[in-house]
Formats: sequence, structure tokens, C-alpha cells
Amino acid sequence: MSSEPSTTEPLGLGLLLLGLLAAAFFGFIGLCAFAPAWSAAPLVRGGSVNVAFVLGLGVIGLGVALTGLYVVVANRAEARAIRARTGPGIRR
Amino acid sequence: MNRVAIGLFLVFVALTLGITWWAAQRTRSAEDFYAAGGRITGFQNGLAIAGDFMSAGAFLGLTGLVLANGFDGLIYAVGYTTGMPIVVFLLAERLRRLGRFTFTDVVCTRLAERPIRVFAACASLVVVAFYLIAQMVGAGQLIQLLFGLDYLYAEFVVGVLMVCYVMFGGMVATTWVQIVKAVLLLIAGFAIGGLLLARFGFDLNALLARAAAVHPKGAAILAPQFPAKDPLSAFSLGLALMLGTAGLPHILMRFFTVPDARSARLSVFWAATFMNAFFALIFVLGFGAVALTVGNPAYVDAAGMLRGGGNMAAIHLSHAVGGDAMMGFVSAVAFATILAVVAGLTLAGASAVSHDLYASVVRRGHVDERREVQVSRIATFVLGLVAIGLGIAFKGQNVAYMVSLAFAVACSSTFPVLILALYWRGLTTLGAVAGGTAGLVSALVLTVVGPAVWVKVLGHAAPLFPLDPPALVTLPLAFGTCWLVSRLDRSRQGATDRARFDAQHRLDAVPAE
Repeated sequence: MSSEPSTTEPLGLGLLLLGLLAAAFFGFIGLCAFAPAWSAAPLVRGGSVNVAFVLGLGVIGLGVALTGLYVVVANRAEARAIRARTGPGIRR
Repeated sequence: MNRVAIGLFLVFVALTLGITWWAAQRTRSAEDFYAAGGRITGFQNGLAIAGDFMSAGAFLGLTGLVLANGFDGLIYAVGYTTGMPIVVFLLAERLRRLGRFTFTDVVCTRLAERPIRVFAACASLVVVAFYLIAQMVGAGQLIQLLFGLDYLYAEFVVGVLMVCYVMFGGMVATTWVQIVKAVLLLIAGFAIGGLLLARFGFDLNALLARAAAVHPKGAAILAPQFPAKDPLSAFSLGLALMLGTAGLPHILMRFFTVPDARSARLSVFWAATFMNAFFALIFVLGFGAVALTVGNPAYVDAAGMLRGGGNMAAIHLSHAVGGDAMMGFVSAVAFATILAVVAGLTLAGASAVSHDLYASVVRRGHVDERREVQVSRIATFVLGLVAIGLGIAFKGQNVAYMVSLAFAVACSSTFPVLILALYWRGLTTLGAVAGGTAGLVSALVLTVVGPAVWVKVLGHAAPLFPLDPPALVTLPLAFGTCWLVSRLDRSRQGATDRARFDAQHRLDAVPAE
């Protein structure tokens, strides 16, 4: 485990995704708090599903999407780093 | 007495315990415990991580919360889903690089061991206590409802079972147990959800319209209410739910049970997928419980209160859509998973006492294993008694709400110390202990004098401190104290702490020449 190269740590990406998720989640809470009428508005006229439902489910979906993105990027970066260390044609 | 439900309940609890026992038999080494011998895939490990998160408490509590408060309850569901990605984004790679997966081990790689162990043990015990309350209340109400026992006796039954379960030996939350638990909970949840939606012709609008028509609060339950009334508490709750996960003592451990980094990351993705699907399901189950149980004399008493208490909404819902058989199955899944969670928590608490406090601090590492096991058994027994007492004191509280208090404590005590230990060179032992303790004590005190305990348990008219949970105040307080005390720390230990950070991060640094 400790042999993993530190350069594969996508800290910048992690912070970016953290910022996105936090913005979405606190944006959701903020809209609930400061725009209650808007978040209670039905999505389609006469329907019962309102904006808050979509936002809430959106935050839940976003969590999965961002985690997936992070995993893909981190795994690719690691694969590249391993190739660079062990693959042919490497120059020192 | 509902014979079919009770019969199925007993059968399924026995079956689940049987599987648990079988899995425990196959688990011999620490390697087995965490990695199931390295044979499990990222997908399976993802299920196991999800199993740790999706407690029956969340399932029972969140559905009950929606039944009582409508959409406000869903804010908790959304919040719980944000914790896991934060752990992935902020902690995963650093922990993996250090090769340490418990809070204490991580922090002790650079700070002085004994003071950190004392702090970590205290923080663990407080978080475990809040978590235990939630599980005890849920399990107690379940037994009360199903068997018609008095709540007091139900609590003792649960407490005794819990101590037996742990003492029985080694039946800890192994990876396989968590997988079984996750799969059962997902099956139960989706089965109820499917049957429920079928009732309404798979039309969510119709379901919600029915919920709004029968609930005393009317259409107001379909939209968020409390954030507009108390925005600060709403943000405080958001903070606790988002960051609390990263500070929970038993979560980090589970985090990297797969040997290679690639499949570890994949497992995290699967975990997030299953958990978030489960919490999204609460959107349907919660309002389904409103639509089918409110005003139905089979599920509410003459005063309009839910039979068996507010946490039983999901159980009644399962009965409404699937009859006695479904109710027996869902009760059994809920009860067995609560027992597993309780066992895990009790073990975490007992090891905080026996390993961190007794062996490492009181005896300074000079202790034979038998004595440590003895202390651990005594601690388990005492924790069982404490859990029964707390379960009785907090009778009728919502489970998901109690869990959010555990999150508030975790995000104000262990989380700041962990983050700063991983990312800030300046953190010293003195700063970490001072800041962590400030966060822990303030979170505990402000919770007691806040709405959670002062009003709801002790029965006062108004809280002394309005924020519920107090994270919005206690989290900055913890970070601030860590920073300030570390800055002012001129001790020898402080210099060592900073130097050890540099040594850990040598790889990142420009070679100093």
C-alpha cells in the first residue's frame, strides 16, 4: 500500500468535487430555507411532485455521479503511473 | 398477537443469526475479518460498506420522520447520502497512503499516542452512546409492537440479547455479514416500494396527492417547512450530516477492506450507488407510509398516534402493502440488522475502553491479553446496561434524529482532528487534544441544553440553546481551538509533531538541499 506513488492522489479533483457536492447540498437547503414558495411549486401544473423533490433526488444522484467520476479518474491516473514506472520505453 | 408475523419474524431472525454465525466461523484471521481473505470483489465490498451505512435505524427512523414531518424528514435522507463521497474525496487516498484505517492509528502516526488515545476513546464512547440510543429505541419499539410487550421489558429483552450476541464471541460485523445485511435491507425496501407504487398504478403524483389528503398538515407535508422557520438549524444539520460520517469511529475501518487500491475505489462507487438508491427510496416509502397508515385504525390509535411509536411507520407500511407475511419479514430484517449494528457499536465502545483506555493508557501497554479481554467483557456488560437505560430515557424519540446527533458529535470532535492531522503540518498533540475536546464537550453540552434533550427528554418548555444540532457552532469551535492552541504550542512534543508530518510527506516535498 505504501508503495503507491503519491502523485496519483487527485487532491485537486477531490477538492473540486467536494466543492460541487457541498454547493449542491447547501444550495438545496438554502432554497428550502429562503425560497420556500419556489421549492414547493409543483413541477407540472396540478401535479404533486414539486421542485424540492427534484432537487433532493438530484443531490442524491449527484453524489453517485461525482463518486463515479472520481473513481474513474483516480484509477486511470494510477494505471498511467504504474505504466510509466514499469512499461517499456521509459527513460531516466 | 399476530401469529403469522411473529412466526416469520422468528424464522427470519434465526436464519439471519445462523448466517452470521456461519460467516463468523469462516472468519479466523484479521485478514479474513476485513478482506474476507482477499477473495471478495469490489462489488461485494461495496455492498458491505453500504451495509454499514444503511442501518435499520435509518430505514425505520427516516420513514417515521417523513410520516411525522413530511418533506423535512427527507432532508435527513439527502444529508446522509453526502457523507460517503466526502470520505472518498478528502480522506481515502491519504489513509491508503498511510496504510492506517482507524482514527487513532492515523492520528498517532504523527502525534503523541497516549493523549490521543484518551481523547479518541472518549469521543468514540460518546458517539457510540448516541448511536446506541437510536438502535435501542428502534429495536425496543419493534419488540413492543410485535409481541405486545411493555416497552420497559422490551428494552431489557433487547439489551440482554445484545450482550449475549457480543459475548457469544466473535460475531462481529464481518464483511459477509454486512453483505447479507445490505442485500436483505435492499430487498425489503424495494419490495415494499414496488408493492406500494403498484397500489397507486406506479403514479407517484397519485401517491403524494393521497398522502397530502390524509395527513393532518395537508399539502404542507410535501414541501420543506423547518428550514424556512429555522435556517441556522437547517444549515447546522446539513453540516453535521455531511461531515459527521468522516468522523465516525467505525466507518473508516471498513473503508479499505479490499487489498488493491483500484478495486477499493470501485467498491466505494458501488457502495455509494446502493446507499443512495436506498435513501432515494425513502422518498417513496415515507410518503407511502403517510398515504396508507394515517387515519387507518389498524395502524393508529384513537388519538391518531401511530401504534407502537413513531419509528414503526415502515413496519406498518410493510403490513399495509404485503400483509402479515411481509410485516414478519421486514420486522425480522430490521431487528437482525439492528442487532448487528448494536454488536458492532458495543465492540467499538468496549475496545475503546479495554484497548485504548485500559491497556494503552492505564497499564501503559504492560498488560496480558487475558486481562484485556476481561476488561472488554466488563465494558460490554456495562455498555449493555447503559444502553438499556438510555433506551428507556429516550423512549419515543425518532431514530434518524438521534443518529443525526451522533453525527453532530463526530463532526465536531474526531473529524477536525483527523482532517488537520492529515493536511496541516502545524497541528500539535496539544492542539489536537484541546480542539477535539472543546468540540466534543461543547457538542455534548449544547445537545443536552438544546431542543434534543432539554425539551424533548427533560420536558422543559424552551431550550437554553436554540440550534439543533449544534454543529454550526461546535465545528468551527473545534477547528479554531485546534489551530490556536497548535499555534501557541512551543513544547518539545509540538516540534516533534510538526517534524513527523514533514517526514510523512517527504515524497511531496522538494528535496531540501
